[in-house]
Amino acid sequence: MTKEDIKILLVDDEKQFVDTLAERLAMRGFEARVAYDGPTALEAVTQPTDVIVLDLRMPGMDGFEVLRSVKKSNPQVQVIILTGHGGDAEEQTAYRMGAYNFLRKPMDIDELLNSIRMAYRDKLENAMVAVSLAEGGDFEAAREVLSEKDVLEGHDKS
Amino acid sequence: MDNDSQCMARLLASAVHDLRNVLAVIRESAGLAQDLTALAMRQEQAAPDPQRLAGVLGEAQQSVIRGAALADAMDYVAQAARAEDNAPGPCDMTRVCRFFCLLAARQARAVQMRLESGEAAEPVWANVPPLALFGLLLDVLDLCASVGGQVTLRFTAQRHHREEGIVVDVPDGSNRELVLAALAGNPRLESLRPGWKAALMPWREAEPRFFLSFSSVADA
Amino acid sequence: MFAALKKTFAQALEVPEAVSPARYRSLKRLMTVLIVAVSVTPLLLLTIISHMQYMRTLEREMESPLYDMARKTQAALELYLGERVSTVSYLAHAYRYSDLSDERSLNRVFLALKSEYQGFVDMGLVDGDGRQIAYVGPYKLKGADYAGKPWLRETEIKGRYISNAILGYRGYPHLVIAVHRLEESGASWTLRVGTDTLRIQQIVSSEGSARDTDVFLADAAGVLQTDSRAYGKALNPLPFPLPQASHEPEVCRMTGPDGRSLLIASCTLDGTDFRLLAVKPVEKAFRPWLALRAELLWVIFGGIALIVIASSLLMRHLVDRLQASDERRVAVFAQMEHNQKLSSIGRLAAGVAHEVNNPLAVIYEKAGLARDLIDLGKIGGDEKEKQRLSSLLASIESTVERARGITHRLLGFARRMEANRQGLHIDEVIVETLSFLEREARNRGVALETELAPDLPEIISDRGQLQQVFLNLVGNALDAHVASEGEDQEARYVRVSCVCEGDALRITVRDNGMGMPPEVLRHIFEPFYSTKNDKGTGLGMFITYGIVRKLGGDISVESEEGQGSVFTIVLPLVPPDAGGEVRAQTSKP
Repeated sequence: MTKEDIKILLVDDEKQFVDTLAERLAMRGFEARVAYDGPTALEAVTQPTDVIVLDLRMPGMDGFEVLRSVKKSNPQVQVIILTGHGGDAEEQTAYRMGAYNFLRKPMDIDELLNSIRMAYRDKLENAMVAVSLAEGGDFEAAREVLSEKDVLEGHDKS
Repeated sequence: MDNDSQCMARLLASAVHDLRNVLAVIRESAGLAQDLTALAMRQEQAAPDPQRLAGVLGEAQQSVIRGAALADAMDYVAQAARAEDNAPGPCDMTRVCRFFCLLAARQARAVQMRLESGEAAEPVWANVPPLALFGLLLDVLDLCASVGGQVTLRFTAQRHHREEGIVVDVPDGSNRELVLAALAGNPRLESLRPGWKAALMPWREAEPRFFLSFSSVADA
Repeated sequence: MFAALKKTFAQALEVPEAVSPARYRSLKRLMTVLIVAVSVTPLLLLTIISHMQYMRTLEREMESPLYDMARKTQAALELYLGERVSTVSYLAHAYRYSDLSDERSLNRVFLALKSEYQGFVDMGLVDGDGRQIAYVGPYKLKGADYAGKPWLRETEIKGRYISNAILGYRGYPHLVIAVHRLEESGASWTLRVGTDTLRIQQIVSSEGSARDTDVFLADAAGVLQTDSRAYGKALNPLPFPLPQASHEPEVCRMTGPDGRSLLIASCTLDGTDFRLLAVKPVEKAFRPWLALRAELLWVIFGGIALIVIASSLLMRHLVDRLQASDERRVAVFAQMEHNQKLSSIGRLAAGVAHEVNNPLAVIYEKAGLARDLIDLGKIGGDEKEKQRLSSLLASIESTVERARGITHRLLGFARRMEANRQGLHIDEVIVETLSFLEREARNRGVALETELAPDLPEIISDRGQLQQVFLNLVGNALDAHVASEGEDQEARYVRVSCVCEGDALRITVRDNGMGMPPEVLRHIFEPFYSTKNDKGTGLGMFITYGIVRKLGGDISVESEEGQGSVFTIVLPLVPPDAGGEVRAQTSKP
């Protein structure tokens, strides 16, 4: 089986769920780490991570906090929300805070993988645009693209 | 207000029963898969029939999805009830129809009826409290049940001449005539709370159908 | 006795606590009485005090002018009489006995006197033996013998004398003025002069008429000496006793002969036997005040009536508002309670919906993983793989259990709240309900009896609501048996019977407790009507009535005070609006 490059971090307090999911992802060739709560997730992010699959409802630090934190510290990391409860309001907030996608459980694993791949590609594209801007000398713009500054501003106001 | 609580209770009770059924089905499926595996292990054969196993597990997954949908619908009802205290906002009638068919499926089954929700081309928003809508739909269901049920009842949210409403039609069923007659003979529906009035109006078209409309009236 | 008084007082002041029409009636009564009392009492007090003060002042005011008048008249009369006496005394000193004993001289003197002074009537000379030896005047008194007469004696003693009025010539009263002389020669003689009382009468009358007062003279025996406007002509007796004698005028109040109250100023006249009286009927004096008083009384009573009306209207309005707001509050609480129930089940449902998603997701993933394993062919190879699969499937089952547990709570709640129309045996429901009240019935010494017809058909109804109805009725029936201290004449019971009547069931709840008067029966199903002062919102029977009606039935009551009550419920076997749940639920727990 080909090993995929995408580095995935799964964050969910429901151990059984997240462990099973990690195993299934591993079977498909993805490197998936798990974190069972917010603080652990934030620490795990310091290691190279491409996509986070994040649950919203967690005790202590909840998903939104993690999302905000991650977007501040590592703005290039893509976050996909995967939650069992989520109304339209949560969805909107998540997008405003910079989530790439908002998915509801139970989710077919292939669809999840699709989303992860698209998120990764989006990340790569951003990076490439930034590089070309930097090559053109527009470091400001490059930084903006990388930091998704306007996105940050959007959710800071919210 | 008592109608609201009755309506909510009926829907939630029905949904919870169905949810438990779903879980039972999952259990059965998983149990069956277990059995198949155990059988294979005992018989020291190569493997349990993969297709069968996969099929069973797939069914379990389907059940989970159904259960999740039920839970979603229940949550919606609960939120609608809570929102009564604050300002009730507009509601997505298509969603309400869909949830209703899910929630009341069991009650319908009791009188051999099936509930379907039709898809609308565009979302239909109305400024009606969702609980009131649920109550209305329950009334229609009760009405059909009182003449014997045994039909398929379909609800589709629609906007007609700038009025929002739900199209009620009876695609099939052995008791179709009687149900249609019952629906035709009951234009005014009781359960709506003060300040609202609802009407089930026959709609002249090729296929007989009814338009459930409601409007707020200034309090007398 | 004091205790009984206190008790009635306390009862009158008592306001029932519960939100009931009785509470507001007695509140209205109490507040109106209080306000009226507080407004009217100072008013009345003020009125009474002012009245007393005014009367006192008025009396003084009345007395004063009378006093002055008496004094003035007294002075005038004393002056006049004094002058008369001085004149006679002058004559008696200016002339000697010998002069006056000559009749011709006496005549001359008399004529001279008459020409100067009005009113003298006759003149006579009385010698030391008391014989009038010379006389001039209209009467035949020459030679009259006055020896031993008291007036002569008094004259001889005092030197001068004024007589009381006597009937004189032509019916006019006149007085006699006598002066005694004792000459050096030893001759003792008395000059006797008669004078009419015209001038006196004039003085007296003029004074009196000006002030609407009856002024007159009387002697010490109470005989009028001058004419009195009210009490007769001179020389008639006064119809009432004389007040105390004093030279200083004194005002006193007396009841006159006709019962009227009189104000009398009286004083003596120096040197005479006379009493001066100024009489004014009190009414006349107080007439202006009485007129005023009548008007004031109208104003006062009008004012009090106004206060009473205004207070009672105001109190009625206020208490009605209070009642409305209290009832609204109770209704709002009931609504809130209901909403609480609504929102609690909503919360519960939301909680369940959220929580159940987790195990569902887990099941999904695990099933997915199992399928992955199958797809990869990792299920048949070795023991380990098979074990793996097996344990995976087992964990799915346990997750299902977890999910079931989550839904359990909601199931219980929803079942309770649901209008659960099911076919049930009403005798079971009745017996079950009575079992809840058994202990209480035992404590009160009341027997719970049932009379359930055999083979009662099934009724399609709501178990929970029926229970509520029976609980309410049987509970009330228990309450109708007041805990008594004495012995029972008859065993106390509450009997629930049920028979089938055609397509309906008739259930009666009978008790032999206190019973209820017609007044209570009229209002018994009204909201907020309660005969239990402290407990209950008065909504129990109202709710029961509503439930019975909603179940398609009817409820009625008969009662007799002291005998007991009978509540009758008629329920159709099949409710009129049987909904979709009709045959769905069989009573499996």
